[in-house]
Amino acid sequence: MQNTATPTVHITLDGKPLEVPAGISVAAAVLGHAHAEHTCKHPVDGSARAPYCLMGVCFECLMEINGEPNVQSCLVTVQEGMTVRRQLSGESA
Amino acid sequence: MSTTEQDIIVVGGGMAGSALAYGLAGKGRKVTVLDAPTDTNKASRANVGLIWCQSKFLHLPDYAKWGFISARLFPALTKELEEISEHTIPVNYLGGVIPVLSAEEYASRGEYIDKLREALGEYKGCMIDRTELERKLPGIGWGPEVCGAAWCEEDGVIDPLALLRAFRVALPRVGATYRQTLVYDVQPHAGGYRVTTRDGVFDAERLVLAAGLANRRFVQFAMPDLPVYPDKGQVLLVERMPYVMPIPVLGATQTFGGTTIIGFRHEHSGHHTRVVPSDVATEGQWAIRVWPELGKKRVIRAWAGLRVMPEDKMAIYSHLPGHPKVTLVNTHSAVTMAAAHARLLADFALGGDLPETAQGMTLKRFGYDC
Repeated sequence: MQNTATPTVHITLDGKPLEVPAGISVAAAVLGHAHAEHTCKHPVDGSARAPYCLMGVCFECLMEINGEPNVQSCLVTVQEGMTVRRQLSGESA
Repeated sequence: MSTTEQDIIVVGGGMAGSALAYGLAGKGRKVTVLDAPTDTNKASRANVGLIWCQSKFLHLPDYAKWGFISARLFPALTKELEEISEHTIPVNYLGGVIPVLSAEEYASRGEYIDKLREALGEYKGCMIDRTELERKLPGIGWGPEVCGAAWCEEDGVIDPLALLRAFRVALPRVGATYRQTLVYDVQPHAGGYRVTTRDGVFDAERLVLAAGLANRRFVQFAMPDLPVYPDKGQVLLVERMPYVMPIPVLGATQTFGGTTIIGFRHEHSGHHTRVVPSDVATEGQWAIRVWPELGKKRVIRAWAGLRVMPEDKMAIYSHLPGHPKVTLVNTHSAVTMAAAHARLLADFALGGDLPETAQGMTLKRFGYDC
């Protein structure tokens, strides 16, 4: 993130600040810049899941974004001040 | 062009063709299934997976019985398929419910069930009140209008794609050949039948036509038209929730993966498979009255599919006029009937009789000599 030529935005992930390149998806930010292993749990079997297809098909990347639960984080671009929470409690809200 | 000789070719590898081919392979015959690529219309890939016997076909009691016969054959078949295919098939044999939203509907459904019980002699179902419905499905918060449901203990729900996959994996393991190709044409040839495909020519002594709506095209060497039409359904898919519906609810059924499929429309609109937002909206509105929680969830997908509907709504199991070695299978309930198709139809396709319950299901009822 030290390259000043790359514009960045500031988000929070699970309450912690994170600076990420502008223009990338929330899923990419959480995987590539916070190195999160898992981002949600399957509502039926409780297994831990992570972004997989990165193109809106698999629904494995659901996270809470700006207070809205179960958002497909691969389809949302990071914005300055965005609040992101992983859904690791197992139930969809 | 090379030809491949078979005892029997099954045209169509969807739920109906796969089940019958599985039964035929069990008779020790050399069977080849020719199945169209997945980008063609396939009813077997557009359905909910209900094994559904209740509250239908009072006017066709044999067909109603046929559904119950199949449902009772299901547990042993799925167990066997799981062993042979080494694939798990999610399935519940715990009954099924049709929720009702008014006292009038409760009364009319109850009346229908009473008549059905009388016509069939035996019927393991009844109307249940809201308290009993809440007891059977405690994880669902029912809408205030729900006053009860039609209940039948012989219904069930199966993952239809898992069932189809298990058939597909099992077929070669029981000696059948599965080929994915486009069938262009079917014709009598040298005392048997010749199937021309994108990948060559296949000859066989006997044929099974189980190609759904495409059967209308393939029968044309024997008859000008088939009394089967496309009956369009449209469904909404709601995002995953914790699993609360081990007993399926007709019209808003939670899948084993946690999503819910909403839909019950029957439309006559040719071969269109467009989703019309105002149409699926009416389905969603009904589902929210039944289960308000759905209204707080996202719709993640919608699609339409074409049921394979015989004119009189009953299955067709028949030879073709002048062609006793060709067997036609057309049904809108290929999931419910899959066990009957796998266990009870092979003899008919090999020249024997239909089971007694199915003997009225040939093309004779449409005036054909077959």
